[in-house]
Amino acid sequence: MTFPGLLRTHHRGGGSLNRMILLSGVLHLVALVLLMVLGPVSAPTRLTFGPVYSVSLVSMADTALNASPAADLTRDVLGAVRQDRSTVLRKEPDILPKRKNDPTPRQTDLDRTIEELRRKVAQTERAAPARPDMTARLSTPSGGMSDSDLNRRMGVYYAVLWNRIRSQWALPADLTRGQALEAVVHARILRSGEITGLEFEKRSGNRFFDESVLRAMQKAAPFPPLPEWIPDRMIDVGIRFHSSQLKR
Amino acid sequence: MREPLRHGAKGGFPLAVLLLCLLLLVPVPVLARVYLDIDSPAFQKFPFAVADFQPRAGGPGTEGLSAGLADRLGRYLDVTGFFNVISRKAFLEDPRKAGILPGTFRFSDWSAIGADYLVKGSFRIAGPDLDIEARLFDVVRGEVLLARGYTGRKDRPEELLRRLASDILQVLTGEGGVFDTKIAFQVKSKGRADLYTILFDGTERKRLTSHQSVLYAPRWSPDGRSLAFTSLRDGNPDLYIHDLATGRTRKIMDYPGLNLAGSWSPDGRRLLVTLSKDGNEEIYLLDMSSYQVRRLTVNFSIDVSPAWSPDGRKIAFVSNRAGSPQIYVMDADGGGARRLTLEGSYNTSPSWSPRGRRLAFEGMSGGRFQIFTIEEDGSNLLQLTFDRDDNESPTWSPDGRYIVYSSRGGGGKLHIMNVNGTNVRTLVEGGAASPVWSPRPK
Repeated sequence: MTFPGLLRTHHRGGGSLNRMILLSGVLHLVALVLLMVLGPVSAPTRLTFGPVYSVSLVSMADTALNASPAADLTRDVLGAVRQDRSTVLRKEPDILPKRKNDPTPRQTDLDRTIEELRRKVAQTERAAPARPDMTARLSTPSGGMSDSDLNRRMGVYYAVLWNRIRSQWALPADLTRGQALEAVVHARILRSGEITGLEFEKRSGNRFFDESVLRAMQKAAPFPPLPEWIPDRMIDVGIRFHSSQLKR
Repeated sequence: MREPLRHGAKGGFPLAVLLLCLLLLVPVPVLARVYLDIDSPAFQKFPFAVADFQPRAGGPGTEGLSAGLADRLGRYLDVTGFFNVISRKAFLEDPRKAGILPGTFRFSDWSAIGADYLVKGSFRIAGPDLDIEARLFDVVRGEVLLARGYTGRKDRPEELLRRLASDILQVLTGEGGVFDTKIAFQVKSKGRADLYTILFDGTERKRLTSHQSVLYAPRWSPDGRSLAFTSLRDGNPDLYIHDLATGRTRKIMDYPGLNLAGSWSPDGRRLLVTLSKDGNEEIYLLDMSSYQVRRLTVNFSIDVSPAWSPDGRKIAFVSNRAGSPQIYVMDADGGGARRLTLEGSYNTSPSWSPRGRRLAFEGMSGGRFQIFTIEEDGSNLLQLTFDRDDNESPTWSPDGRYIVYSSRGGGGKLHIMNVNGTNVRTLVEGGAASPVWSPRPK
């Protein structure tokens, strides 16, 4: 009964619908032109959808403690609140030890090569169970930073998150009774590092497991503030907790 | 009827597609959701703090009790294997300034030292009584999880603290503790032994018998009131029952040859025994009211060490019918026997988990006996001990969370471990053997 009624409404409004679409199109076009003219001139935007990367990292316990190249980045991430915010990006080459050691103009090529190697390694090592596995899908951001650069830096930030959350996760093995459990939570991390919208995407079905996962998130927060080179106001992360290594 | 719709779509659709394409070309930096995988918790124990108990009224006998009660509660929590009790040396809070009620202290003082949970309590001594009030706090959320008072004799504060510890365990793990359960065992000295009991936490050791003889296989009745065991006191391995309430021991079976207690039925009315009166060792069912026996296994090989499943439907036992001693499972009426252990040349002493699906046993591994557990269907074999001593006689706690076993190292020790093989602690040293865990007191 309601179906013909709906159709009749469309029938009467057929002509005006066409006009409305046309009007909407013109308005959109105007808005688009305005956006392009008044948009950020300083930051050249690249009109690509960007490649999909898989970033695989080793435990932050290593990267944070050893004086590896990533350690400097970690410091960069952890100490994101700086006195002089405007010069951060320009200072960067000094912060990154790789560039300090080898300041060649072909840096981006080198980065790309490293990234490619890393991607290959990531693909071959995906099966390794002992490592934290992270998959990041980023679209190309603005801001003049190369994809690999941003991916690498995001990877470091994610590794800090991973390490923080894992180090707060406490759960006696007996409470899972030897079951293989998985719970997935997601949260948004604000620029300040605080989390909001902590929610279960998937519960494990074991209330002790789920409770321990929430506690780990709550204890780990607030996280370090989002570094300036992260283009968004907030980032959205999901964390999959597994009990695969809990023996009965 | 559909014509107007198609007409409407004709003009608007290409334009809409064009607009959509244009919109898509505007780069909007969006970081899609990233997933991080965390494969295992960093800690298998809850970080736990016990603040010193505060006296509600001063007076004689309260000195030292503040720290004493807290320390003792901390020890009880520690032996459960569920908690990492934080040393008071790490505490930030000034106990003279902080209260014990919510709002009178700062949770941040406790979260800063890594505590997930906190117990604060107060006490009062009134005549012969000790009155304890305790609160369990969730430090992360700033909530009260438990608030309870306990009253008892002031010379036995441990009873109150055991109840408190059990209540804490109930709240945080869904099951109370086994603080009020005992482990029976024998202590051997120069070939002579007697039966003893000790509490789960290693306190209140008591001697039960004065046989000064060779003993075997003590077995608790399901109500925890009596222990069946075999003694050579009169020259033959006869079967005895010790009544814990009266302290009396009586002989109930003295067939020629072996009279060995196996396992009580879950209802306590029958006892599985091993007798050799008919030739070789076979498993029999003893009715505890009529003392009649019924033979369950008929075999030319040896059948010993029967253990009832918690539901009373199956019996695990040891047989050498395939050449080497192995563990078998049969129906409660003696039929349908199948071999459970397929690995190893010597597997014995089966004990059924009160949770029902798993069995513990001792098995030869690398020339030593070690403790194993296995699923009732023979899957998921797990070795729990790996040291260089012979580890024997595993039995489960009534909540199925722990296993007590004996070790021949150091002249005979008893150890308790969590069922995943972690958190091993020594319960008794010096000639101890044949441990068996009591049911919960009823």
